[in-house]
Amino acid sequence: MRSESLKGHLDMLILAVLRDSPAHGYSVIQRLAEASDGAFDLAEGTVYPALYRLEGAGLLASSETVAGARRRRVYRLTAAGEEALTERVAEWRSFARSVGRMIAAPA
Amino acid sequence: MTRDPIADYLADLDRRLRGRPNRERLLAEAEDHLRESEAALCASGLGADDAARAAVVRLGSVRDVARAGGGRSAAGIVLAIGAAGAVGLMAAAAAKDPGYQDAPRPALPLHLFFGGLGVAVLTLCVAWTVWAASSARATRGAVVRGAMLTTGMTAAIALGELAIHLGKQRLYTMYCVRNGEPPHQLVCNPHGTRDFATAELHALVCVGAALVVLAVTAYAMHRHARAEAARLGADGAAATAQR
Repeated sequence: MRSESLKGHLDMLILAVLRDSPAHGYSVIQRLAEASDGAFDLAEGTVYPALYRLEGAGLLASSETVAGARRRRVYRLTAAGEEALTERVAEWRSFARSVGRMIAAPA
Repeated sequence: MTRDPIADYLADLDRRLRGRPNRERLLAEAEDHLRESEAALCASGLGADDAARAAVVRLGSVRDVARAGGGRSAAGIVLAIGAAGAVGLMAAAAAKDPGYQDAPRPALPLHLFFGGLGVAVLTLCVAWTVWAASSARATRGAVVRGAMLTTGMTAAIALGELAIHLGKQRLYTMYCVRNGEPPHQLVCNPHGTRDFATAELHALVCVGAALVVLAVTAYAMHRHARAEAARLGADGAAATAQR
């Protein structure tokens, strides 16, 4: 999938990936790739600006843990993030239905 | 002995993040990402060196990763606008005041006052807009400090220009009174060296006042940066304590 197409929906995808359980940056990227069967194979550096943006907007919260000898920052969805995800998913479904009707093959 | 591409990458990132309050956090996050990516690539069959190189390539350029933390661009925008306003003020002052020996124009301080006020308001508006549009805490902090610096510079310039004008106006009035002529009907031409010396004294006072304003601004910026770094550090410490 073209990365330009993905960028407009990256925030929603990240929120969706973190809905079930918290994760650190690398794990978010892995989950995106696995859940999409490799279709969402993003340039890894592009995910971090989105994580920082969502955290600043209050949709994500982060905390630091230690993994082995390394410090690790784990992101989790906030209540505001869950609300935002619900709204964005509804918008996306409405958009996808409309696009589906537009491009449907004529009977 | 081969160099570690990940260590080189982190050293370069460290240099680029110098002065940022969230430097520790970004470095730790990048290192964790790169080491985990390297381990995964090794597990998939790549050699250690190739895995490290591939991990670096997949993360992206150091410049982009450093930019992701936010801060410099936003502060740069605010500073550029503030600097443009300050240069505009000085250009306007130079255009309004063609020569030292001419009488000062009464409207000049008002122009400077409202010009300085306009630059300060514009700077704060831009800072607020960037603040609202951005989300990274580091960006917000940099914007606040950029606004502090710009406002301080503008205040220093406006203060200095105002003091210079007042000093020159005083010289002009003294000269006219000495010659028994109404100030608004003549063009002053103070040739005496004492007049010039007084003007120089006023100029020095202006420079001193401007330096004081800039010093206060720098101190406020320093305090703000330290407080922000402490807050970011406290976040990490609190998380560690929770484990």
